[in-house]
Order: sequence, then C-alpha cells, then structure tokens
Amino acid sequence: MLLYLGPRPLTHEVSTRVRARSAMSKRTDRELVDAARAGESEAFGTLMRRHQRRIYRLALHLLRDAAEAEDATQETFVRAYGALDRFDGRSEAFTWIYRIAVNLSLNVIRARKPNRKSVSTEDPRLEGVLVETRAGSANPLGDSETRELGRVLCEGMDALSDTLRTTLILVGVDGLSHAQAGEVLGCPEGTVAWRVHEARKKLKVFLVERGFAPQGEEGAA
Amino acid sequence: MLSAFPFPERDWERDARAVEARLAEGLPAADESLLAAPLPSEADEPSSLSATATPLTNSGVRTQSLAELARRSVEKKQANERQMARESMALAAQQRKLAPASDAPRAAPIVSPVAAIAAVREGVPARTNRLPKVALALPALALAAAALLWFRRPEPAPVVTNVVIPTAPSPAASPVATAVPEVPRGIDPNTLPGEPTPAADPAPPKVAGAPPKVTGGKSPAKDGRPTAPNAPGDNSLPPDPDLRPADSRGGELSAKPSSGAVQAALGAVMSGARHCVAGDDAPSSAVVVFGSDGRVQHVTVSGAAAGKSSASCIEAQLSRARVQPFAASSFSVSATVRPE
Repeated sequence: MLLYLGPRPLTHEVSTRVRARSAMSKRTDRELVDAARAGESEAFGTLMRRHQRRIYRLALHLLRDAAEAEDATQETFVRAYGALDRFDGRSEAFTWIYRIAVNLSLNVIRARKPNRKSVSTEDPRLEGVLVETRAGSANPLGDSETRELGRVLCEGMDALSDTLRTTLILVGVDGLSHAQAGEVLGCPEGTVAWRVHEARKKLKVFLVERGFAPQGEEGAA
Repeated sequence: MLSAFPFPERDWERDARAVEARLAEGLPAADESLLAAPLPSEADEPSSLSATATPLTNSGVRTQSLAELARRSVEKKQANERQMARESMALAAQQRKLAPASDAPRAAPIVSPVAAIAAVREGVPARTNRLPKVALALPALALAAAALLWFRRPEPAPVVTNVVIPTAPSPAASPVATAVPEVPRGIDPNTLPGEPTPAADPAPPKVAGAPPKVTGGKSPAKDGRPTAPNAPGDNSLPPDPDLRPADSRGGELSAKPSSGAVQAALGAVMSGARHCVAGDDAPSSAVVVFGSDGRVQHVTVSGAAAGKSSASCIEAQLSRARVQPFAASSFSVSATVRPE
C-alpha cells in the first residue's frame, strides 16, 4: 500500500488551470491585450491561440509555402507581443495582428528570388481542399473538377498583384469585412471593395480562359 | 470556392508553445515598418478611393485624412460663398442694365440670389423682373462698384439673401437737395470714370466736396465718354474720418441703399458677428432693418443662435453697420452669419 505524501493532487491544479483558461477564453481581444500589457502571462497566449489558425492560413496563402508560413506566423506573434505597448486600441486587436502578419509575409515575398515554382498538387493551400473532397466522396468527377478548380484558382491568385491578392485573401479566403480589411491594409472600405472587385474580375477572366465557366459572384471566387 | 479553403491540419498547441518559448528567450528589436500600412495602391486604382495610409498605432489612423477633407470642405465653402457674392453682384449689375427707368421707386421684394442666379442661368425671367423698372446710370454703377472694391474686406462677403435693387433718380426729378449729402469717403476720384450727370442733377458724385453744379452735359452712360471734372484743380476730398458707403448721386437721397452699399456695410461688421457664433454647427440668420438715417434700427436673429446669448452678440455687432441715408422710412435686409 502506498501512502501519498506529496503535494496536492494534480487533478486539483489541473482543474484550477482549466478554470482559469476558461475564464481567460471568455475575454475579448481588447481585454486580453490589456491584461497582457498589465503582465498577465496567459493573456497573450490565449489571444495567440485564438487567432493562430487564421494567421497561419493567411500567411500560407500569401507565401504559398508551409514552412515559411509557420515561421511568419511565429514571428507575427512575437512581434505583436513586443509591440503591445504601441497598440492604441483604435482598431481591433486581430486586424492589428493581421497587419503585422501581412507585412512580414510581404517582406518574405520581396526577399525571394524572382524564379518561383509553379503551383503543383503539393501546394499546401490545396491540401485541405483535397482532403475534404477525398473522403467519402460520392462524386469523383466532381471532386476532380473541384481539385482542378482549386488549383486554377490558386494559379489565378498568384497571377494577381500583391495588392489585389492580399486584399482578396483577406476578404475572400479569410472572410474579413471590407471595413476590417481596410483597417488591416490602411485604406478605406471603398478601396477594399474596388480591389476585391478587380481581383474577382481578373480571376473570372483567368478561369474562363482555362475553361471554367463563371458561376455568379461566389461560383469561382 | 475561396471561402472554402480550409484551415490546414497542424498541431496548433505545439505552434503556440513554440511562440511562447521564443517570447521567453527575449523580444527582437522593434520594427515600426511592420505596423505601417502594407501595400501601395494599384496603378489604375481610382485616386478618390485611396486614403492616406497611416499606421494603425499612431493617433492619425483616420484623422489625417479627415482633417484634410475638413480643410478642403471649408475652403470649398468659402470659395462658393465668394463666387455667390460675385454672381449676385453681377446679377444685380445685369438687371440694372436691363431694367428701364421708373418714375416712382417701389419696394424691392426679397429674392434669394441663388434662385435669381439659377433663374437667369436657365433663361427664366427671375422674380426680380417684376421689380419696378428702374435704371441707374452707368457712372453710378461704376461708382458703386468702386466703393465696393474700396470697402472690400479679406473675409468672404456675407450672404445677403435680399437682392437690393437701388433706385435710380428720375431725369425729371427735382434735383434740389436740402443739404449737400455726404460724399463718398475714401474714394480716389482719379479711379472714377466720370460724373453721372443727369440733366437736372446738381451734384456730381465723383468729386467729393465739390459744390453742386449743373453741368447740363450728357450722361457718360449715353455717349460713353467721361465728362470733364467739375472744375479744374478742384478735386480735393473733404476730410471725414468716417467711412461711408458710396452715394451714387451725391446730391439727393436715393430711395434705398444700393446693394453694394449694404454688402459693404454688413461686410464691415460680419467678422465680429461671426465671432459670436464661433463653434456653432449651423449658421444663423439675421434681419437687419436700416432706418432712413442709414443706421440700424433693429436686428432680428433666427437660426442656430436664436434664443441664446450669441443672438444679442450678433445684434450688437450687426447694429454697427451703416449705410448712406436714404429716402424710404426703412430698409430691411437678411444676412446669414456662418460660424468661423
């Protein structure tokens, strides 16, 4: 028979930590930022975990490389933590973090060599699309078309300028509103709307040239 | 399809811990460029859609562009007011040219210059055409314009909603004045084209202080040539410290003050009135009633300042306006006092 003479049972600490995290997760982004500034160690961690997936997907679509996207995501949060004192609260915290992520990703793009590899089936952006269409598919032909459409879409987005592509990713892929995208990019909503419209127009032309008929506003883009 | 791009599968907790580990090692040097607006405008992007990109973290995320917009709107408004004043003067001059002389001066109805300008532009006879058919001699018109130029102030002219049609003296009217009227002050006679000399007009308005004289000559408006001065060398101005709007006929009272004189009088006091409503969001209106002696009898304030202390301030300021004495018992004009 073993006597337990150690500290309090681990389950109690775990439950306390879980309760603390649960309370932390209910805070708004701004409250988490304020708490992080005040020195609460877990506040920024909660904020990071809340937005890391979206930041990673954004970086992935901008950089088209999983490793670079991982580095950019990590760098984004490190830089954001270091610049917390300069966040004045005029925008949402996540648009502020998005801006850092976009700037870092663009820096990586500009530092790249001109010869970039073409889109292939190993494109990390397509990974999720292929996985979702593969399992339990009742329409292989449709899945094949979807994969091909995804591939051509990625090609079309790569053909856009950085400005149009970034705007389209923020609004089309990540689902930001025009106002939120404007906060990220530092431009008015009208400019965001124009850019999205231009990007979609060019994408449609790109798709039509490659045999994909447009299916309305959301059909292809 | 774009929105259908899913989140890649990753060990997100591992990624988060990696970030925390990096934070524990220390923070990199601050890089302000990461907080700046990321992207340039597209080459064919409409310029009107683009705003001044400012970093999110400074105090001018939107305010710089808004400040510029506010400045531009104020400048545009001031330019519009100046343009409106110029157009109203041009309209008044045009109507004076078109309107025939009339024996008896009648009251001028209140007409918005905006409506009058719009009507003239559209070729529709303005309501002012129903005004009594009066005409001024060209020299009188030139004299009024010269007086307006002399008394012009830096700030925009006040918006005078009443179009004043000055009455012209009848050629057959009695030229006798009970007293020599006060002649225009501060006017350089050398800038004036000539004397308005209706047949029975005893006092040419051009030369201040000159004795009334029946020249019997033709009006400059008829032959286009300015007439000779009253007397050689007799062109000195009597000293008078008070500035007064120009009197178009010098010897006898006009029925009402000219629009130029009214504008000049109100323009001289409008800056003070504007100070009264500084900070207000909306303009105020004031009806200024001049007595026959040219002094303000009454000021009624309406609009944003009505019922406030600024109303009495506006009344005090506008009451300082002065015009030349006129024949009518009173003359009222509306003015808009816009906040600075």
